[in-house]
Amino acid sequence: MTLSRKRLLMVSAFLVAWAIVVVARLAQVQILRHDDYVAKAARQQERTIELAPVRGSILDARGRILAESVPASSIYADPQAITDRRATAKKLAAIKALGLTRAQIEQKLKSDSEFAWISRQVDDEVAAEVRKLDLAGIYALEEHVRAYPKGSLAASVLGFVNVDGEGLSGAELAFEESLGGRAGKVTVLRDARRGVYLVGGEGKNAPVDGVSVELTIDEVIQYIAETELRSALASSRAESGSVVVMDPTSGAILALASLPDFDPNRFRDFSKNAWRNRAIQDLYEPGSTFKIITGAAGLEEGRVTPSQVIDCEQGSIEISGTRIREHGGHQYGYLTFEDVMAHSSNVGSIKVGLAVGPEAFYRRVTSFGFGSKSGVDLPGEASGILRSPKKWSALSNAVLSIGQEIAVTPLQIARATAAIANGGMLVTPHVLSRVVDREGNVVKDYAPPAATRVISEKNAAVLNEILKGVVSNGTGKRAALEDHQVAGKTGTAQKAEHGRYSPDKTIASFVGYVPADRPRLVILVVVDEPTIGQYGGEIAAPAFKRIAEATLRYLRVEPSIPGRNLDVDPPYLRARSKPPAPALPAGSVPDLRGLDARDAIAAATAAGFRVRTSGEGFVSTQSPEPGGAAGDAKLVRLTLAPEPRPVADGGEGR
Amino acid sequence: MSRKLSWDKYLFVAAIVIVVVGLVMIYSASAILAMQKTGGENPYLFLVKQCIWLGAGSLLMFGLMNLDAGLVRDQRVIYLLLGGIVAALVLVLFQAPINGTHRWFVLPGFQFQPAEIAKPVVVLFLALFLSQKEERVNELTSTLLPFAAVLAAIVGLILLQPDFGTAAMILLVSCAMLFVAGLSWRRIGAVALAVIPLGLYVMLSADYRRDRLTTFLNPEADPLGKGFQAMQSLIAIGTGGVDGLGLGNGRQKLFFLPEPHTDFIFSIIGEELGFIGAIVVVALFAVLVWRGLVIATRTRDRFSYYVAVGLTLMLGVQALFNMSVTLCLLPTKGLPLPLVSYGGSSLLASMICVGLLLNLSQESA
Repeated sequence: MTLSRKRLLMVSAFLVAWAIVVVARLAQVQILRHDDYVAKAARQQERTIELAPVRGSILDARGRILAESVPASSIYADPQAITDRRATAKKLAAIKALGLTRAQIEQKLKSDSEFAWISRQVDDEVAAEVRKLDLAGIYALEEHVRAYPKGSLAASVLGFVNVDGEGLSGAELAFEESLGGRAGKVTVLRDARRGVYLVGGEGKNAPVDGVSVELTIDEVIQYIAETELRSALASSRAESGSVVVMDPTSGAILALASLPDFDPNRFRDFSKNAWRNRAIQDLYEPGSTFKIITGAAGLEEGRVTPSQVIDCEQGSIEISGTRIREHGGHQYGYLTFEDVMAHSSNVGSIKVGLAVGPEAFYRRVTSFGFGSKSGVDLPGEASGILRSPKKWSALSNAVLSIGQEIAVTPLQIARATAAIANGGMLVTPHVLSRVVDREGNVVKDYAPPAATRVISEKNAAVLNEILKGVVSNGTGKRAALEDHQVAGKTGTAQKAEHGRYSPDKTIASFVGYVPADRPRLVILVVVDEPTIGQYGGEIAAPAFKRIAEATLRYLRVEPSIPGRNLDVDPPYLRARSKPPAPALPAGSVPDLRGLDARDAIAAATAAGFRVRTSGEGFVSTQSPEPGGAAGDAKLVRLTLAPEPRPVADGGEGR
Repeated sequence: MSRKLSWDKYLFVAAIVIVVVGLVMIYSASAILAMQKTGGENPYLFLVKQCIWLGAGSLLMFGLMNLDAGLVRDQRVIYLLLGGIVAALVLVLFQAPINGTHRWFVLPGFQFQPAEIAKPVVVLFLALFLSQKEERVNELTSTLLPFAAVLAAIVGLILLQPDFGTAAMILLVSCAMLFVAGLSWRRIGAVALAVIPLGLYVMLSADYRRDRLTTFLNPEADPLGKGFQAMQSLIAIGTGGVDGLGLGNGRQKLFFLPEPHTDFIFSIIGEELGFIGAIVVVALFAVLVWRGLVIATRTRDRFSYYVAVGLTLMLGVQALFNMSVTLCLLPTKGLPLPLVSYGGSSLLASMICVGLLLNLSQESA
């Protein structure tokens, strides 16, 4: 072989070796490290766009909408597609309703990404104006905005959502999982220069809309509670307060009012203080309402009987050097235990509490749910403060008997009272009734945790009698109803300030249930720092009465005191809350009386009738009468009058 | 006169298949770029231009295939060609720069790159030179210095453009021819001592070349900056996997990979046709080189032998070099994949090589 041939062979061998290296490298890159590079490629080539689901509605106990998501347009920009940012910003700034200056818009357009919000959830007219400008790189996107059609009603229960529609507080947060649904994802293929190139068919993942949550809260009862609380605060010149209305048997919360309140549609305009749900978050010393628990402990421990006579020491008792007096300077001598409760005697209650003793008393108090969360399905609940006997001072047992040295939430008091009302079972308060999908199918029902017995049925009945006495001839007289017997307890707690009890700042409260022998409602009214008056009996009890009256009437609870049937609906209810129409034969005319013109027309149209109206205001008479046949013309004539005609209860033989 | 044989069919078919693969891949890689350049009107812009060049190249190739071998080895023709190419390389330096380089003559609608044509011409000249000096290949004055002088002039002119890739390719193939001609190991050592420091100096003297080198050594250090091309090429090839994303389905050509239809067309092949497609392309070039070397061994005289060796190496080494760059095995150089990449001058030069090889395949020792 010639030298040249040998050399050529060497060159050939070199080329073969080189080719092998190339092939080996191809195998390494394409086969061994394939997945790495696919991931790298995806990172730069694909962009995942989240498709927001439509949030479910929050409904009241009768399916009325408390919160819903309604379509709204949001304006966004693809900054990379905009050549002249200044001109674009100037044109956008000319739309005054956007509320952005040219400089602000230009700042947003400076982003390096392909997506920047300009303004979210704007009115349709604004979006139309933006679309009309037809600016390159400026687009409108359909989003949903959360709307609370009832304004501030039940605001602290409902809570609110952020601009992305995520629940931040209240029911919106508590039921986020159901309401929120699941975001969808769409993978968009992009190129290196100009953002979205094409939408990849693969990896498409439709959003799952949220389902609706039906609460136990009833819009009308909530409205009653808020209105009456507001008027109680106004008449006592107090700043804040709360009301709990609960079904004592199930623990379903029918209303949970907290004032001052806020409008969740624009929650940012209110102070954080207004966002609070005072009924579950605020702690206070319960004062005399806590004597119910003292009494329950005394009865359960066998330390006292209703007719037992207790020496009330003529108005004061000294406990390890501290003298504790009766409210209002009363000087009671010998009182039965019933009367101790009826007159809310401090001395008598302390004697009962001391008779029970620290350990047993503490055990009884905790068994009623104090010192721990009630388990209500709303976020941010406080557990209250209850120290264990080991940390008690010589005074603790005594003052705990009259509701001091313990901090509770209003809901805890209502819950404990419910246990007396329902015959001794401690139930879990809750606001969730059920979860329903868009077609109205029930997805999930509220599953109540097992209730625990905290007092015997017999002792509950004894306490019931005692608490009836508080209202019939004790401090709670002003809570009495004409149609129903009420059981309850007043409370006037001095507020602690700087480690001492303030002489003039009190928390006035009343807790009770009604009808006393077959209770439908437990109602607690708490008024914080009344400046006109200070006693629970004078401030909270009347509010209790009005709430109970209106609610029982709304719930169509037959009077439990015979011979009483007065129309005492407050005027606002006559106009506002039409009880649900009883089932009428199909095709017959609905009862439209008492409704305002708009609601009446809507209801009649929904039932398939045409409407002719005369006058203005509320429906006073209708023709044909409810339940009648409208004939072939399907025409209903409505006569409207400025004042709503009271809807007579029972007048139709129902 | 030599006995006429038929052309080497393997070489012919391999070359045609490579060109066809090239056209398909150029269209796939450039359609979107073309749409963008023509305002969305003509995705065929680059394909059509390449086809026109292919037409010219085919005429030239068939002309060369049928050319009387005597004309090819005529000293006067070779010196004329050499003179012409040197003149063109000088003239091109006075052309208006494109992207800061003086590589192109701009004709209406077309650009022409004389350095590409220099490749076969240099091979012809060196073949002539070496066939005459074969016995004295190790002599300094009669062989090596003249060899070095001519080479230095041409490579130097090309470096002035600057076009480091083409210069390196010519230098590499020339040295390989000298090696095949029987340069002694002592001389090889001496040449290496002379060339390597020079090469390093050239490589590190210009910033962009130094950047490319450091990038090559660690492409992932700065994936969005200087390592961008290398990284994007690897991503393209890597996503291809075994069977590729499918013809036309590549995504890296969406402006991630610069020059997807020219220097990085092999990356698109790897992405869209996968490991299998890339291997097929490598195999086609292997056939080309194999047949080229077979032709060389069958040639009747030393001139034909060196021509065949030189042209084969020119095609083969450049193909390997280009693939190695796309695979990040070598630093980024502006080198097209012969017969495949978009670019008229490159295609023309490659087809000249193929045409001459086919011409030589008709004679046999």
